[in-house]
Amino acid sequence: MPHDANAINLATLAAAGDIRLAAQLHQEINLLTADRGSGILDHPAIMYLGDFAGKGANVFELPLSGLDGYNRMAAVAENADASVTALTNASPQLTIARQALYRQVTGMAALTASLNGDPSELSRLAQDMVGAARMRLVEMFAGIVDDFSSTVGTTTVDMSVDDFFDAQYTLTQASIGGPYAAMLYPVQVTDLQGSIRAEAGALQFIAATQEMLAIKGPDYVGSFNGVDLFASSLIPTANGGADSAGGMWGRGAIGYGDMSTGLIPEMGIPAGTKIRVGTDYDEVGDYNRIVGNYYCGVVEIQDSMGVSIITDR
Amino acid sequence: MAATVGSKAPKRRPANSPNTQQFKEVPIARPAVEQKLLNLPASATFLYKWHPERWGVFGDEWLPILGKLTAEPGVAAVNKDGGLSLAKAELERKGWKVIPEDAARLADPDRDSYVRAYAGRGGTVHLSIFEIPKQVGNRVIVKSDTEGYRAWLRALITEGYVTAPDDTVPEAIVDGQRQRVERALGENNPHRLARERDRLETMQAATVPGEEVETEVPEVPAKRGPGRPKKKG
Repeated sequence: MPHDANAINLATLAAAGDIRLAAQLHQEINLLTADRGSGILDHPAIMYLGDFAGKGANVFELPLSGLDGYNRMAAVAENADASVTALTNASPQLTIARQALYRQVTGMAALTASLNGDPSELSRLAQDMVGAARMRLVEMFAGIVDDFSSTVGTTTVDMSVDDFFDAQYTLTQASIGGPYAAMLYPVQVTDLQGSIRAEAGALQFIAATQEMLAIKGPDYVGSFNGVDLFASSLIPTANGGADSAGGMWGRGAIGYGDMSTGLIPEMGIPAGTKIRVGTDYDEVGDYNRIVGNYYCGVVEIQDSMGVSIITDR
Repeated sequence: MAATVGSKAPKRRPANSPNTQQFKEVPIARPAVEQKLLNLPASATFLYKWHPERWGVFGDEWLPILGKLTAEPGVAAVNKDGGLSLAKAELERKGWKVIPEDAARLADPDRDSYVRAYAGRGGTVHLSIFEIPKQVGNRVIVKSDTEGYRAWLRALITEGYVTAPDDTVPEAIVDGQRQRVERALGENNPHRLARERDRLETMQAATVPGEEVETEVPEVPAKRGPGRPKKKG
């Protein structure tokens, strides 16, 4: 039996009095795809140099001294004077700078929010500041893993198991203690995995399990030959954009310092807060301002403790 | 109709013509969504830097592997306002040498910087002049001008911005490659062995800057001495 021309259908409901909407929101807000892996920051191969708040400067020298076996004793004849050995020192510089994220939310945007976790909720935006600060720190680290004077890999050639071993051997030959970590561009990781597949013998790539991901973060991809591997899309290019410049290093090669906020009781901010989030309201413009501030800096502490891995992007 | 060679110049309209522009033309104010912005994350400007130990084989020649000093406050001693003086001093202490921006003229005489800035969706994007962004659908692909970059590296050496490598540097890298060949030999993997041997040969044959290229002297055919007299009969 054919439909009657007066049958109630979607078109008539929409046209007559907006009884149906052109589009409705799904009752759940999902996240846009992005690199949110910051587990590398919690790896022991990255040194936390401390909280530098209230120390009288934003630039700090990190004293490194050649003691405890750096200089070895030498044989001296019984009837001769020992020669004086100079002390070797170094002091890389850490600079702390402000990193921030600022958003504005209009009154209308806040009033029309209908879902839990709406991006116009200030509490949701405050929570977002933590992820924003951590990813900024990852980005800052990604910028210095190319700073090692030792490099392995061949330009425009995919990363292979041999490049990985070359990096590890370089560290071992320089007497660098573990634990080692490697931070690579995702294409470098997949090239390495492809190369491992072609290997014969007892080499095993231990892929990250669900439990490991929960502990080490989504950027952890697994462990190979005792080195923890992390992938980051923030790894910069090298050689005019043809390559990626990841790196492998041992504990003590790179590190970071930060400055935590002091006690601000009137704003309800406890002492020791690393990321300070502040809000205020503009009456005339009817919008909320929300700003997150994090004061931090990253530094290459000892060049010989790391290797840059430069291979095809 | 399009003007053709030899056609008469179009007649000038009188000043009081209704088509005469009274106001100055400005660029069209397109909505933000229609503006062509590069869909790459914002990035800071940078300087190239060079270290005497960082060399690699590019094709058939040894060239420097440059690094970048990015003007990101808080990264590698870059000051809170992006000042690079302390960072440069740190680099020099570690043996690096900063390549001045005006070295870009070696690649393009009209340029005074090897950094090119683009308007991006999240802020200004800084890429090298050898990186060419291209929009393909919703993705941005950054192509590399490999040949242009290598030519520029060559010019950096010729013009003295980068010094030719010490003999020991390529030697150590070739030695590392030799070890890779030995590892491949032990693993009985013919494909890998062939690949690593090829790479070793390429490295050994690659031209090292500053080394005089040995030109093969054509062998002069030795004059044959008088042979034994033919036997008669």
